[in-house]
Amino acid sequence: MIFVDMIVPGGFGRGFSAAAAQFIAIVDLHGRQAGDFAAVRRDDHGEKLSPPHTRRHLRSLFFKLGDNLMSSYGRPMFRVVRDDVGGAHDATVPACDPTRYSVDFGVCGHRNCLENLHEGLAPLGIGILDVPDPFNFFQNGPVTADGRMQLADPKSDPGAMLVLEALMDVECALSPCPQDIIPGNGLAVTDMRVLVTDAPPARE
Amino acid sequence: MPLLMKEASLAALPPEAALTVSYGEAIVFSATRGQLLTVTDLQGRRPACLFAWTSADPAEFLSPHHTRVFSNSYLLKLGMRLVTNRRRPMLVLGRDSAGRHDLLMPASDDASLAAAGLEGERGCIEAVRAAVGRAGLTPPKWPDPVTLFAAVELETDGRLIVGAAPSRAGDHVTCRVLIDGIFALAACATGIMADEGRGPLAVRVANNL
Repeated sequence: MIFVDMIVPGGFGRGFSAAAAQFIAIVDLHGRQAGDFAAVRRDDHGEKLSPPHTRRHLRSLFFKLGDNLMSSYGRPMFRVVRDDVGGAHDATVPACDPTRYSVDFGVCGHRNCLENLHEGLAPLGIGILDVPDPFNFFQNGPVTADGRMQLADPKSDPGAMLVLEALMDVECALSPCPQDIIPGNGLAVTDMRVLVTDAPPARE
Repeated sequence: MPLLMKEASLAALPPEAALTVSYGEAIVFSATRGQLLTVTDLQGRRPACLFAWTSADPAEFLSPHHTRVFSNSYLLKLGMRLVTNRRRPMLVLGRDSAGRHDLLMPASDDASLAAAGLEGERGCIEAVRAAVGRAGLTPPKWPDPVTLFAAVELETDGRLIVGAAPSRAGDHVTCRVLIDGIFALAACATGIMADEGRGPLAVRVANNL
């Protein structure tokens, strides 16, 4: 059964729900597009998907197939059940926000992931300060020998998919990142698709 | 000595402070632009979790995540700017006898310490929230910490190698303060580093070195 099947326009954000044991597929329709993803527990919005808690649990910046992504209460929130880019995702860069563009690039009024994620979560009564720090799916940031992030475009081919099994009832938001100034989305921001299903999507 | 400005200020120098933080506790203090904030590990192997909110707007806070992106560095190094969630430098790491700090891990809480076999130890989050509450403050956001004196090594494949608490007795960092702020410092177990010390931390907010 398909509970959610929607296109999220490139550079915009959408919210959606998933229940425990359902599968969330994030599809990079055209390839080379990063998507910022945030989630909270449906019953307690104070419990958020947390990159730092996931790092502490995994002892790594990166997750692998079968790994759990952890909540801010230190509990498993999602399990990674399919990953077409072999772990080349980021969970260290905070969502791009108005100051990312105004301070770092001198551009005011740019669309940004923080406000996009907030648009997806605001109907739940979540304020912008309570938007969780994101997982940036398909964002590709290899670690350099001197401890920096190498700027790179995603490895995702058109149709590349990441599938998560929800381990609790969750409210989520996805923002196909509007970054069109530096490498990260191949300088072309494109749409992504979200599916929520009761079985993992079949391989095409 | 305040910042060396072209127009000398006639205002009185801001108040200084010398405080200690016992193991398992947190303290709250303020520091203003131009002052020097020094944190000293008095007995060694004692990580220190630092948090801050700007005095003007507590919705603007010290962010380890924005700090990493601002300088494109996973590691906190001498001379780096520690920035807020609005990408404004709040502190600069100006002196550092330890050289090993962390910008990646979460603060401990009672539950994570119990899960790590440290039943009954006080979590950093609980200690900081209690201290901030006693100070009569209600910040709208509880940020992730900057953890001073931490042993978290990063491999090029992304692995995080957590070692024994690295600092020696007397190790210290000094930061120039660039934005007036309310700071919190916790001396609680991290639950991830081996061989953590249980000694106190010293905090000095001063107008001179």
